[in-house]
Amino acid sequence: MANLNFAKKELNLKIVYYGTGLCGKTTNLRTIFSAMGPARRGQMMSLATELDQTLFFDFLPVDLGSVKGWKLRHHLYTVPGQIYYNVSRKLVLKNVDGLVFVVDSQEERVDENIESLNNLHDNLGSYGLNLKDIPMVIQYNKRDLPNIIPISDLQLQINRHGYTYFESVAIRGIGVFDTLKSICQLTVVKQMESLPQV
Amino acid sequence: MDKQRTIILTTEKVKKLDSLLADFCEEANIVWAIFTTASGQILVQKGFVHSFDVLAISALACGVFNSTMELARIVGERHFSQFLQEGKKFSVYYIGVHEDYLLVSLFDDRTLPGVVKVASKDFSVGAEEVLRNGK
Repeated sequence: MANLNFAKKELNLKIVYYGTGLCGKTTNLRTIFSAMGPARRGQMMSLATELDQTLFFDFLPVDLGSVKGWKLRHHLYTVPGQIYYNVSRKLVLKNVDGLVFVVDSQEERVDENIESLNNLHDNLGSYGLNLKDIPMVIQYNKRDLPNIIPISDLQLQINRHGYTYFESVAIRGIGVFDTLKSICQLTVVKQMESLPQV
Repeated sequence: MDKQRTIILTTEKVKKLDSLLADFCEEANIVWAIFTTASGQILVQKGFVHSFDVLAISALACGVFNSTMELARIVGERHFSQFLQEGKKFSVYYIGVHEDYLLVSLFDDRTLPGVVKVASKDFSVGAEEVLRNGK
């Protein structure tokens, strides 16, 4: 749920990185945190297990300039990917404004990716939302690994609705900012369409 | 069910909420308080806490609150609308306002949980009215 603060002329938006376990959601946020100057981002917070798997969520606030005089503040979240953390995943999705669906491109993870996309659909449904209501981009991650599926096949399996997609190697920063820029643009455009006159 | 929507805070609404929060902090002797959306976006805040990361606290507080709401649902309660985390030096009190907002108050031994609870309730009634009717 976006919030428009006329007193501060600030637009706050919530972006959630969704996807199966170990697909690279946290790595995306870590890369953004490392690459952005402290003036444009807050502290990154991770609620993780001892094995460094996300337990509840990661959180990173970023400031991405301004549009039409409105200061843009995006709150980036990840969800825990492991199947047994579905309640936490659902809670993080609450009031989401934009989604990045991170796909593990490895052949052996195909079924898990599809299951995660179906799970996203179900969890949004529990809030009375549909995927088509919310801006989303798809990120095909781990494109540097040897056992990956061709993009054309992934598109057929994951992206039948034609969402904007990016190839990435999040651990090396490749594709991370293209993805972020795209989802931020989509969410802002959606909000600006309904922006009242100041 | 809560469909996606945008919260629009006019300058007038922000002023009113700011004033309500200031009154609440003064009345209950609160160290620091935030009024935030259920997704952790701060609407107004009062007080001073040096060295605390306010945005991180807000995101965590909403995580705590939302998971407590889910716990309530699982045990068959409609909601646990308010709760306390008690520490040696500081305590934190949470109260939900409507279904989409949350007041989080940090206080120390200069006040009592009962006072914070009563004042929080007053704030919650006032804030709900501002958000419903305010321009």
